[in-house]
Amino acid sequence: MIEREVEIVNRLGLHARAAAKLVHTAGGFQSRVQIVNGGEEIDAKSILGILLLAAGQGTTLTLRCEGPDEEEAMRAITTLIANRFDEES
Amino acid sequence: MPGSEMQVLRGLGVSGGIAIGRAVIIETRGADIFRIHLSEDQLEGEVNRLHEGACHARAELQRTQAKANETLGSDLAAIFDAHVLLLSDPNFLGRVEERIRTHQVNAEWAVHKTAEELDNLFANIEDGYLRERSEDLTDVSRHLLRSLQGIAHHELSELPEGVIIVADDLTPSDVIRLGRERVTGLALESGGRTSHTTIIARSLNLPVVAGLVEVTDKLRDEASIIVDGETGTVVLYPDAETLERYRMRQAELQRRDADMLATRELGSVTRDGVEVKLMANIDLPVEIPEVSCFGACGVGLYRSEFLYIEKSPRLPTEEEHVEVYRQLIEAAAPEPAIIRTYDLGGRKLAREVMATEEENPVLGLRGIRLTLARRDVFRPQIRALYRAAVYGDLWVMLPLVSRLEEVRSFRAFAAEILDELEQEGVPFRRDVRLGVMIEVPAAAMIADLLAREVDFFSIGTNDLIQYSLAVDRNNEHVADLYQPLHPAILRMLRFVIDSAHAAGIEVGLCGEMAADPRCALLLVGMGLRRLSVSPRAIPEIKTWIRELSTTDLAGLAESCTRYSTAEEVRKHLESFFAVDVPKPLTRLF
Repeated sequence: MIEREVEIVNRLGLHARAAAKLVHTAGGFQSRVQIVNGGEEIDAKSILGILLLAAGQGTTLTLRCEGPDEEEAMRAITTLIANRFDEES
Repeated sequence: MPGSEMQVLRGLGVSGGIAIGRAVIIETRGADIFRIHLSEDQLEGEVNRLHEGACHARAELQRTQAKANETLGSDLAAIFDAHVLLLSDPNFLGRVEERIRTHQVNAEWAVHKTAEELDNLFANIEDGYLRERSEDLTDVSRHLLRSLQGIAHHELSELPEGVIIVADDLTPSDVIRLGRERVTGLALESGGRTSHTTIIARSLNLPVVAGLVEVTDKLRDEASIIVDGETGTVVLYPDAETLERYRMRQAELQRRDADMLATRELGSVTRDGVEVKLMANIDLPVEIPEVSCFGACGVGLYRSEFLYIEKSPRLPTEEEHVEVYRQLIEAAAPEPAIIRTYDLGGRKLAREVMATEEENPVLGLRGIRLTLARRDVFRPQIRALYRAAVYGDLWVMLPLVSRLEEVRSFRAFAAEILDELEQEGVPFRRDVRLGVMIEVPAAAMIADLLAREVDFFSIGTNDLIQYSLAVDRNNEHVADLYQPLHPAILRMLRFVIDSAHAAGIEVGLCGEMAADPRCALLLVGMGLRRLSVSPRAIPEIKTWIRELSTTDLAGLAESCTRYSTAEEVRKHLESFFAVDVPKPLTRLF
């Protein structure tokens, strides 16, 4: 299991379309992907969970990946977040 | 049971036009959701039913999305993105499933209670934008319920032709699915002017009356019904005479629409070949399609503060600004899109940003004053303006300017931002035209001085008249003193127009005064060649402009200056149009 902290940097935060991209990305890996925000822990493959996190710009989240392709999953997701979900130029 | 006597109901006309037809009643809200206790051996089957229902609802939604994409474009279709995703979410369905199992209840009840529970969770989200996602959840739960209850959606699209839907509530996707082919109008209990449902109905040109209390209980299926979206009236069981009257009115409106389409293609040119640019005033991004629909010549005033009001309590982001400005520029092309920076008063901004309360906000920290005082708040907007300008012809306009220093300070502020953008390597445009609203009497009186330092004027008559005559037009005790034709106003307009012409800069007018065709023509007579009005007012003004010559109108303007009261000017204008203008012109109204 690996764990990393990431900051939400896109302006709209984890809104519907960003959440969708996250779900698709996480869904592409076998590993279990979880997001921890404060005491809450949700499955990154669930759009409802992500929406309910209500993570706006500037929120720091902990990403947790566990499984055969955990390294790749972690890399893909952190890149997506750092690239602001490709929303902004 | 509802009777069959004629009944007239008043609601809110949210989408224009008249529909006459037979009613089909649809109940969508909370109807028929019963709690049924299941025995343990029934649970597995119920869970399966839930998943089949979700699968069916998802397929329906994807078809709706495809249809929306085709008929309304990808922007409106994106409304359904989240819906499809939610319907495939194991977390959402898992909650429902768990409820079926632990409470031993039917799937409908479990969906209903789960939606309620999630709605409460969403209601606690602080970020307004993220909180609004509960709207998507409601829509999705409703689809799922319907699919579980076997109210197959295809029934909706197999309706007989020419029906009018009478419903407690309709979701945006319902409206798209119903389509324009079979449904001719909507009578709704819920809804307002800005709901997604209404917006989609308007873009489909469906007459809609909303806010009708308990309308679904007042008639039977197949009852004869009239929906008048122009006046917000609904007539149930109309008698023969009423029916005839509305048929005539409907035909009249169809002629009006045909006239409108006809004028859209015509140039806004006087008899002697002078072009008068009729531009559109736009408040909300959803109104952008109206620019081309009513044949506007560019966007003469975009009130950018509405974006703020829409996103409140948070501020719109730089990207959101850029996106809206890009859309405006594209809709206005090849003519300019004139974008006014936020015209917010302390009070509107107070809660979220300013944390101040003013005694008299109309004379307080607002418009350009606020822009310069709170550069941190305005920086994203100003950056967005210069960035969006790469997409085409964008002009920047400053509200509430009263002193030359304000223009100079803004230029310095903009220069700072341009340097910033350059350093960041972000694409932007430097040679953007900068103009001012002439809406404070002081600005009108120094128009000759201002004209040397800006690229254009736009006369904002709404405020100019209020400030000049010391009249609040929303105050019923003095509203009749709000006189656009007051000699003081005409003199000020004359001076502003002449100053702009002398300096060789563009001058236009935005304000409701120009929406009255008689005033509009007087303004053309005074030398204006750019008028910006609500898009709907354009076809009529254009029809009048095509009938007259600038020589006639200049004479009219000249003679209007001879009168000493607003009332005398008004009478003169009326007699001019009564005598000198050929009759067909009055038909439009």
